[in-house]
Amino acid sequence: MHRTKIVLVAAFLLVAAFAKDSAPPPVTPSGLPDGAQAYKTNCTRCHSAPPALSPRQAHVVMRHMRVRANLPARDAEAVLRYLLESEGSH
Amino acid sequence: MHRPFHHLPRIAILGLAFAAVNVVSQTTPVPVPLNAQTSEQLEMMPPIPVITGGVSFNAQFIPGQQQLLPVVAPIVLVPIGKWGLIESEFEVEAEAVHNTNTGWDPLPVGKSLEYAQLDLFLNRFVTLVGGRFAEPFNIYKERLDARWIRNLQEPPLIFAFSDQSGNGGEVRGGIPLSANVDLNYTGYFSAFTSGEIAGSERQTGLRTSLYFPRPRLEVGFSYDHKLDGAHVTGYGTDITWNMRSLPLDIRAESLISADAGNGYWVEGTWRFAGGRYPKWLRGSQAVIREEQYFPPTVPLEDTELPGTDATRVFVGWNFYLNGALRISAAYGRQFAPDDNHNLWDIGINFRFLK
Repeated sequence: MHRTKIVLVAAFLLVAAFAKDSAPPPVTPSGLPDGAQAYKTNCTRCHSAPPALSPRQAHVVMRHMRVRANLPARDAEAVLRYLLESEGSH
Repeated sequence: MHRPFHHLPRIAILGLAFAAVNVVSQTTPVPVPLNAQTSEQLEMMPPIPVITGGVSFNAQFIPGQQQLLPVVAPIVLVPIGKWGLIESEFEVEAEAVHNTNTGWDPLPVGKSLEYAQLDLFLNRFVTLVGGRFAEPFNIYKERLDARWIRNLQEPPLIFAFSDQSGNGGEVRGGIPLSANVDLNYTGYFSAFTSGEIAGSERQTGLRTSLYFPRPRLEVGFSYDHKLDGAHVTGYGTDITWNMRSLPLDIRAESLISADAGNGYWVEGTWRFAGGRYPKWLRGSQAVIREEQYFPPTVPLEDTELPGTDATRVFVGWNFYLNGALRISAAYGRQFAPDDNHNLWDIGINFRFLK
C-alpha cells in the first residue's frame, strides 16, 4: 500500500508540473474566459452537446451545472454567454 | 492471493507518458471577443423552471438469465431569484428478470429520490446545499450516473460503495487558483433517515480536486465516514482526462477501505469525431473498461459490493443518432472464483428538456 500511495503522489505532482508549464486558457479582452473554450473545457468532459436551449432555459441549466460539476462562477458565466451567443446551434 | 492495485504503477507510468505527449502538442486557440449585446440579454432574461432528464431501456444477458431494465429519471429545476435553485431528480426503475429454467421473476419496481435540494449561491466561491443530495464520493454518482451520460450501462463494481444519497447539507464550490488550476471542494453531512425512497445514513465526508483546464485533467480525493453501525471509512481517488491532442477520454476511480474493500476501474473512450472518419461513423464512441475489486477479510453486511475478488473487462460501442438519442451495445467478461461469466448489454437512451 505504501508503494501505491507513493506512486500516486508522484504521478500527481509530475502531472501538476506539466500542467503549470502549459499556456494559460484564452480570455476575452474583459479578462473573462472565452465562452467556447470554457464550454469545451467543462461541459464536453462528461456529456455530449445539450439540446437547443432558450436563453431563459440556459440560465437555469447553468445554475444546475454550476452545482453538479462544481464549476467556478467565472466558468459558468462564460459558458452561459457562449450558449446565448450560439443559441439553437447545440 | 491478489495484491490490490498491483497494476497501478504501470497505469501511472502510462498516464504520465500520455500527459507528456498531450502537453507538448498543445496549441493556443485564438481568443474570441464577447458580444456586448449578449451581456445585456444575459441581465434581462430571467430564468424559468425546466424539466429535463432521461429515459432508457436496456436488455442484459448473462448465462441462464435475461433482464429488461426500463428507467425513467425526470429532473426538475426551479430557479429562486438570482441566488438560488431548487433541483430534484426522481428515478423509477423496473427490473424484469427471466430465468432460462424457471421463467419470469416477480417484477420489482424501484423508486428513489436521487436528490431534492435547495442550492444557495452565497458568493462566487461558496454554495450552500440543503435537503437530499447525491453522495459526492468520487465522481460517478454526481456526474456519470445518468443513463444518457454513462459510457457503459453497467456501473463499476465499486460504485456500490457510493451509490446513495444523503439527507442533510453540503458546502461546495469551485475556486480558480490561477489561470491554470481550479480547486473544487465539497464537504457534507447526512443524518440517518429511514425509508425506502428517501432513506439515508448518518455520515460525513468530503471531496476535493484540482482541475487543470489547459490539459483538461482533474485529480480528486474523497473521504467518507459512516457514523453509525460498523463506522465504515472509505477513501477514494478519481482522475478524468479529456485529451486535446487525441479524441480520447480517460476516467478512473479507486476505493481504498479497510472496512469495505479495495478496488478501482479505468475507462477509456475513443470518439470518432472529425473528417478523417467516414460520415456514418462520426457519431460513435468505442469504450473499454477494466476493473478489479477485493473485499475485506470480514465482508460488510447489507452491501451490494461483491463478496469475492472480482475482475471485469468491458468493451462497448455507443452511437448517437442525434444529440438526444443514443443506442449502445457492450460485452463484458467477469472473472471471479466460481463465477466466470459473460455479460451482454444492448440499450437505447433518450434525454429530454422542456
